[in-house]
Amino acid sequence: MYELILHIDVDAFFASVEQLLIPALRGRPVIVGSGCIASCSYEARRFGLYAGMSLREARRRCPKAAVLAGDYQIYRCFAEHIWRICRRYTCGLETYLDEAYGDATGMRRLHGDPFALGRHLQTVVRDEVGLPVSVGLADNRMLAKLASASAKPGGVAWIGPDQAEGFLAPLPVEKLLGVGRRTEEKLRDMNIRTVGELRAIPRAMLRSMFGRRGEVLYERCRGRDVQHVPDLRPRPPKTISRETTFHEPTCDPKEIRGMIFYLLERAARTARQAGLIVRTLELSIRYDDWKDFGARRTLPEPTDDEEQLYAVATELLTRLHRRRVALRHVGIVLSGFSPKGAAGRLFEPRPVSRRRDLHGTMDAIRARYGHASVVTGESIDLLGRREQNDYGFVLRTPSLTK
Amino acid sequence: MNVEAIDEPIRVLAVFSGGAVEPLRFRWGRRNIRIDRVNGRWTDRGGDGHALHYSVQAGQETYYLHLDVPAAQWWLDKLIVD
Repeated sequence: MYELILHIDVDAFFASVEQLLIPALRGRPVIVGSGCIASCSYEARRFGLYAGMSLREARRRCPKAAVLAGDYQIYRCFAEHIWRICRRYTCGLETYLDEAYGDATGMRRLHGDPFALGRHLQTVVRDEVGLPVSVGLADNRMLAKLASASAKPGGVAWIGPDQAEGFLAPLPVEKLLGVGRRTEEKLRDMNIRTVGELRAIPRAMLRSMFGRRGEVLYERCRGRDVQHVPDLRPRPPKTISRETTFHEPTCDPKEIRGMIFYLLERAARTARQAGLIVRTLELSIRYDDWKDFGARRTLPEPTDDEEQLYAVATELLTRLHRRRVALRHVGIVLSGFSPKGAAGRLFEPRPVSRRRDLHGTMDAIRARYGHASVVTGESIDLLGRREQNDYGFVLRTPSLTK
Repeated sequence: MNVEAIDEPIRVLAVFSGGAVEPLRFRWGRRNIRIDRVNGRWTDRGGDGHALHYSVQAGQETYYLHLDVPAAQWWLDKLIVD
């Protein structure tokens, strides 16, 4: 029996939620975003709009589009509902913002053939949640995702074990997982535009052109995903990041430092919940003229102490923020994890161990009453500037990457 | 489209059946508003709270309501008129 991997993708997620909740928006072009499009309805896409486009350009192309800032807490609730439904059809689920992968191997006995399983899931999501989803099924993640993409919007596609090559052959080469802009340009220089044409290149030539990635491309253009279906049990992350765009570009040092502290707090709490201590911190900033800068520091000893991490972050900020231009975006990335307890703490300074106890207490309070129940450190400067809910400060474009 | 934030407690007549809660009508100030249909619903389990949220339609007006379950109090969150 072959594996059956399911990929589910909510069609135009944020915009679909808004059209569900506000009937006056149905059938109209709808944009969700601030500064740039986070999500747009299919009616808006007919005007050439897409996620990532600036709102200025979007309004020029589609002046009648309804533009909403969005409410990410609502979207999160809808996503969680959909994932609960998906777990009735899969063993374990790997979720992202608007898509998820699940192992549905063995579910055929309950739901019939994969196509029927996909249709059933789609119907249940529509009936219980009210949102359109596309479902793809195949024997690996790569093909499952390609299948759901081919079925959008609102469709179901199943690529059987002997159908992969036929399905892939006509696809543009850039649709293949692992083909980025540079690889695409190299292949186009060789007049290779489809996956079928890529398949004609011998393994040795791909290896000489792209190194180890060439081996991966050789397998993938034949429908074999060398990224094996992951063990869907929770695994330690490679990075934990938090980033956001300011509601308005700002030069206010208190607001900037307050936001960095808050993002760091959230990231550090996630690390503590995963039982990890941090070795490397990276800070990124984006100026209002869209210039990006980043810097990274590896600590001499790993830690989960926010004060130590914040000291590093402010040092990096001083180094990066040298221009008299407002900032529109900041981000924190933690990495270089090791399990808590791996580092020797026998002679840990007392202030550090007391802060660790304090963080443990605050984490317990927040787990029970919500993150916003305790506001600490520099993030106090965000009080009155930012709306709060149980999850914490309401960020303009929260981006929680794994 | 006009969105008006209200954020006021209200009295709601609702049906509790089969594990679900369905609001039927509510009183806002001196107005008795009959709900034509529920557009969508979601549950927010943030922190220790538990709230049932609804978007409901009454004529041309869309209302966002929520039931704060621990406090057993309904709230009118906002009104949207196209």
